[in-house]
Amino acid sequence: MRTAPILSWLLSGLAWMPVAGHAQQGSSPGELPRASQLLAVPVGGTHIPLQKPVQQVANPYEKDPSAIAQGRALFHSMNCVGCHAPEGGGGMGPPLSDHVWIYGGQPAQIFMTIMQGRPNGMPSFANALPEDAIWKLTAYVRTLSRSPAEAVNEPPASKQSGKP
Amino acid sequence: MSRSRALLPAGLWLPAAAALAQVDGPMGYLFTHGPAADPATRLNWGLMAISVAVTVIIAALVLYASLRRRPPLPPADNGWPPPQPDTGGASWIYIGTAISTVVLLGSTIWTILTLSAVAAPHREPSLTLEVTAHQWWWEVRYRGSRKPDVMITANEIHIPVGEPVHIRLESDDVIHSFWVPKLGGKTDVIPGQTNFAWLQADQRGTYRGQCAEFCGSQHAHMALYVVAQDPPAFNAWLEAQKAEAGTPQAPQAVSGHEVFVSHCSVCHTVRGDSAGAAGRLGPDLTHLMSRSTIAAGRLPNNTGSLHGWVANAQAIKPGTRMPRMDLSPEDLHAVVSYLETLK
Repeated sequence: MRTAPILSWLLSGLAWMPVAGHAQQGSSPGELPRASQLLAVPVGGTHIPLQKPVQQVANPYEKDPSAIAQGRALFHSMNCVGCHAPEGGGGMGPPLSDHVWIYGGQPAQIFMTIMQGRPNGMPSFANALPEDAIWKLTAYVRTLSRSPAEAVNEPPASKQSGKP
Repeated sequence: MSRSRALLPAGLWLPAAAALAQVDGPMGYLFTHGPAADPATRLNWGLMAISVAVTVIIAALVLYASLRRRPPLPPADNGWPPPQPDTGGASWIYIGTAISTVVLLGSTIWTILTLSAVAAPHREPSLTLEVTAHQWWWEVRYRGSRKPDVMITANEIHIPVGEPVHIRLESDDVIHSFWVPKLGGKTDVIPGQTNFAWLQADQRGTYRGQCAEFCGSQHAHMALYVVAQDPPAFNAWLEAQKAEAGTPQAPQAVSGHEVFVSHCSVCHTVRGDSAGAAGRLGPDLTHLMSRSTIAAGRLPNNTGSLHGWVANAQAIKPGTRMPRMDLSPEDLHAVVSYLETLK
């Protein structure tokens, strides 16, 4: 019984630590989202009724051109292209260059899909790649669905620039 | 005259014998080699003999009745056709029905006895295998007495001769059916349900099996082999399979291992691999070279097949989960030379 307050005190201390670290390091790419955040991310996107809005977990490499280039290299070297085709056009696996995401298109959802694998052929890369590399891959995959006019390191363009 | 009469049956029997020899191919279920299949095979032959006999007897009687002629009866005095005299024809119906009833009842009892004979082995099997059906290959697990003591292989089941073997069947995706015709009947493999089958081989040999329930585009290329060995040879095989893979030594195999880790390890397991190749989607490759075929019987396991399969499995088995690999020729040769170290 006496351990409970101590435990909660310890936990609250732990909960503050990453925030403190964040304050110190700013938004440096070394700061990866924690597992507790990721496990709360709904994956699936096919549930009826619709789930709560996706909790936004930011990808530290989302706007980092060198990380995106590394993600692109991983996309080829890990043979993602075998199923999703170069540039993510799709083949055996679903295309990644459109706006349809079977298991969600938010960075954290893409991260979890790569991490855990998905039914019907998507393997889990949890043993093959460190989290850091999966976030880089996620950043690259997110660029595939942007139109060529949009530079990868710019925010998504407004409506008028995309469609003819 | 007598010579041509003697030739006629020979002329009929030769093609029949040739046809029977054809029937006894790898999937020929008319000749079986184990107690899980033999009662059903005897029943099969017996019912076939009865059916042939019934057809011949009925055809002969119909021919006899249609060819038989009676002299026409003289018309009656009043000009009407004469009444048919009762010649006792109805007794044929009673006799025929009685014979059919006895034969059908006998067949029913025989069938029920056969079903109970193949339902379970006559003694408790010493070995239980777990077979998981995937689109389109078979995953095979041998468990030891301790829980972590498990050996996984694919598409090739080894069993000791003369021992009943229990098989626990599960499906990873759709409905399949486990069928090794020379050793037993079909058992459906249903997702979400565990079914059991048993086999026993009375002769050494390699018996071909096949998925027997349409399960998708590569259903026809979902074969497995059951290798029945003497118990000492079987135990030696099992011990060899339990061993972990060694570290590649030759330079080409070492660079092939790097390619394997980046391109293959996410789906394939090599037990004991230094880089931790532990994928679960594809077959366990720890002792790949000990198997006689690859891709569930699609190709013989040799250097050429491995090159073709690794380079572009989609061209060989379209729809399989194995993606096309965009490998340079050097990497392809290297990865195959690494695979060939997995003895």
